[in-house]
Amino acid sequence: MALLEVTDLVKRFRVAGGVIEASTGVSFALERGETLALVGESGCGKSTTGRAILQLPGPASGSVKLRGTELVGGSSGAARSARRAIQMIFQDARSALNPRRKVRELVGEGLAIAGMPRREIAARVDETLLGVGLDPARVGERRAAELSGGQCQRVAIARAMVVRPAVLVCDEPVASLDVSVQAQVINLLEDMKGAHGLSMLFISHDLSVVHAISDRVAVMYLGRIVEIGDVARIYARPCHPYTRALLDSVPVADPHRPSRGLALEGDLPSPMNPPSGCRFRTRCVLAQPRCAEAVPELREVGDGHRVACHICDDAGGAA
Amino acid sequence: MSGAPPAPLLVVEDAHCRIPTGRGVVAALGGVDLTLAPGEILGLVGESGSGKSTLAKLLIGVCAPGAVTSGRVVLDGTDLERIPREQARRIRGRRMGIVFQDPMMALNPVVPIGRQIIEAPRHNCGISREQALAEAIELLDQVGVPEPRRRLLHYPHQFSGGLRQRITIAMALACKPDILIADEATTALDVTVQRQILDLLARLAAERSLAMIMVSHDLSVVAGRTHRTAVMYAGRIVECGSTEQVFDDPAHPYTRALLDAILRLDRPPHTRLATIPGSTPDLARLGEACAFAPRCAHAVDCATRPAPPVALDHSGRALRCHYPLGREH
Amino acid sequence: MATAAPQPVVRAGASSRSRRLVLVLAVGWIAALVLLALLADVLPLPGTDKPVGAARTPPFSAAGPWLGTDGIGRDMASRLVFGVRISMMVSLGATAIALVLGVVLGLLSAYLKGPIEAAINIMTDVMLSFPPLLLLLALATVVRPGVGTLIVSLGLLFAPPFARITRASALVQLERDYITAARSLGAGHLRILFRELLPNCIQPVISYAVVVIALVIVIEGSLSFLGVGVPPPAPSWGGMIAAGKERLDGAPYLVVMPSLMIFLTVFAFNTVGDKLRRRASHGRSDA
Repeated sequence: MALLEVTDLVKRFRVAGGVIEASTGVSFALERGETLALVGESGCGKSTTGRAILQLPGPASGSVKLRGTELVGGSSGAARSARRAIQMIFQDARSALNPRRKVRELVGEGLAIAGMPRREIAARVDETLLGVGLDPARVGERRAAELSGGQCQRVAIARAMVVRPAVLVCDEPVASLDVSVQAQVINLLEDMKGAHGLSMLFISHDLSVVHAISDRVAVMYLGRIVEIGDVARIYARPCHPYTRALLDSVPVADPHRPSRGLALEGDLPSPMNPPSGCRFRTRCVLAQPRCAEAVPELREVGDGHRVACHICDDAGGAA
Repeated sequence: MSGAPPAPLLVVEDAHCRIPTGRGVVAALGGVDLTLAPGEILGLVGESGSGKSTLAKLLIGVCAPGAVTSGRVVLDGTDLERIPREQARRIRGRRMGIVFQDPMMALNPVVPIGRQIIEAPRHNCGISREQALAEAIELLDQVGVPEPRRRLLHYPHQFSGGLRQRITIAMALACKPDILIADEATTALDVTVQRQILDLLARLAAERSLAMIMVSHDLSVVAGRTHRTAVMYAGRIVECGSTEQVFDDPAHPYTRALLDAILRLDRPPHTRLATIPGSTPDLARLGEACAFAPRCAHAVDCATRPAPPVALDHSGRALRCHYPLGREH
Repeated sequence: MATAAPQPVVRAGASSRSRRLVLVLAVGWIAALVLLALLADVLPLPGTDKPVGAARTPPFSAAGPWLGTDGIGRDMASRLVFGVRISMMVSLGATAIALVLGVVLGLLSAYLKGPIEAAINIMTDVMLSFPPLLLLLALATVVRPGVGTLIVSLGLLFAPPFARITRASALVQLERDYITAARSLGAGHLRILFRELLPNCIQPVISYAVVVIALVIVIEGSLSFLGVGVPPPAPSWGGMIAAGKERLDGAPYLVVMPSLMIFLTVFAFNTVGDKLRRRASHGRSDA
């Protein structure tokens, strides 16, 4: 049994003009000690999926199981404590810290809520702050406004880690950080993973960051997973046309390498009225009539590598 | 190459910008020199606080109110800082265009885009409304906005992020400028849209022989798309040379450290990433010495010496460093 | 990016010095009033309802008490001083009720979506649309006027603006991820409302509260002037103005002195409120 099992997650939003299904039938499993990335562009539903897993708020339908305990709609004690075993860090770290509280209080919050005695909290907080590379004596009494972006993110990581979660959901944690600080935070997350046996669900639009930190990756487009598998394998031989276009679009820091492939044409279709069948077909160079008729299911094309594409299927693997 | 190199279109000499804030006077720019030839594409890279956006704003004349600027900004022989403001504004409006990171910074949400696109050419170039509209339709078509005639009447919120950015590019090009400044123009866009916009900018620059300054914190964005690259740190340009030189053989330790910190797809996953120790300096409290010295792995006595002046090496690369990489000392 | 662009600040010179002086005087005045209200009993003042001399003796005259006497010969100074008590009690009491009620309603209406939010909003809108003085006059005919009923009715009257302000603040804060983080750490509703949300919404409320204190003093004065405020013989600045308005030609000081008290007090509170508002908008760092 996988550590985290997500099955047929559906999340809907009501907006002026109709209903948006931000994620449709999303299913994946996260094993203990692995990092799975959810990658995609705006409107693909990756952030929504992440928050739905934490039940903040929960999905319209579908199931999320942590160690076999169902989290969706669960109000029992088991469900509540299972929910606390999944923590999240956010893109805007400063905004994710209560501006009026000091760092020590912020980090100790989860423990205070759980009712741990004060002295124990203080010790754990100091230990965790050291673990994220912050000096408790120097930053303990500061507030979020006095810290840099990188420090804020470290405090947020400390806050999540102090309750010893099993799963850490990272929602674009390094997107707003400078390059040099990005590297520091990524190294820190990898250290946490190693030291605490943490499993991570890493949500990002940045393919380079995902490549550096993940074991497996799930590519999302307009609310569906279109490709999922081992990260090195997918990046080397992407199967789905969208994955290929994504990877081709990543700029390379090499002045001698020209851009690869063709730029993806057109714009994202409206999420309120997604194309029938395969949602990517309106921008896909390989599209055929049957792509409009049936929704492609995720099918296995190699060990653990699954693709949702009619064309890819035929080629029997990497096209 | 035959003949003398063309006279530079834009020359910036010893530009300073000091902004008084609650924490003290922030030295946003501490002596910047720059040249831009006609048709040349220059990449301006740096992290936050490096001064790259301040420099872009200085070029188009919109520094923060209360900012004290000095230095020369010479466009085609005219020093824009020395002539009356109104005249400078007119020249800038006609000859420079700028595209910002957030298209909603340039677009008025309550005015249809057609009116916004024709505003500058009508005001600065004095052409008639009919002609301006015709040119606007033509421009929108060139930047890739579908059905331009019909969409002239639409409001910004009726377009996607990528289309909005295309519209601001059209607006920037409406007066047929000689220089286009793209200030983090693709940072807020999805990666596939980013590629579309970068390709578009490259095509437009080539078609119109535009000189372009691409400001970005992302070195990868400027790598394949610029002729020269300038790296900024703490308000100064620390290295400026041909893009190939700067990427293949960086001379400044900061450039080297930045390049090492970039995430590369050719390194296997879970490789330990190189970082730059320390953090960016407080621009309100810069000393006399090189601002990068505290974080530099190669600094010897740089903390005790005054900041290095700009030096040109044999290949024409400008460098501010006491101990450049790969040179014998 | 990691650091925001520097925010420029324009410094003023002499005008900020004079502003500071005014602020110091305002705070001093309020402190003096509070002291007077507390110590009124122990000060060597004659009683407020017994005549102490000839009626309508002007102030600073050799014949009578220091600040003169009113229409019945009662000591003006002691009436003014005990009037401070009434004004302070009514204004602070009513503001306190309005603040607590309004903040709770505002927080709840922002936090709980659905029917409760709608109900609170409708209630707030209705109360805000009522002309306040009319409401109070109507109340005065139904309920016997007294300091207690005055405090409660004014408190209810001012609760809706507090609710509105709190709700606006809360709606903004609820978008921020620290609320989400608190939820994921297991915080219950009460904890989120009062430990996370409330401290971050309270700034504009406090600035407004000071302004409300000033407003209530004026309103109480007007009500007493109209005869529906604090019933006589309790001394109230408004009541003193009402009693003295007949003799405006002969003994203007009967009206001028309580009016001056109201003016200085309201001005002091408004100055302090203004300073708090400015401090709040500068100190806000949502970087």
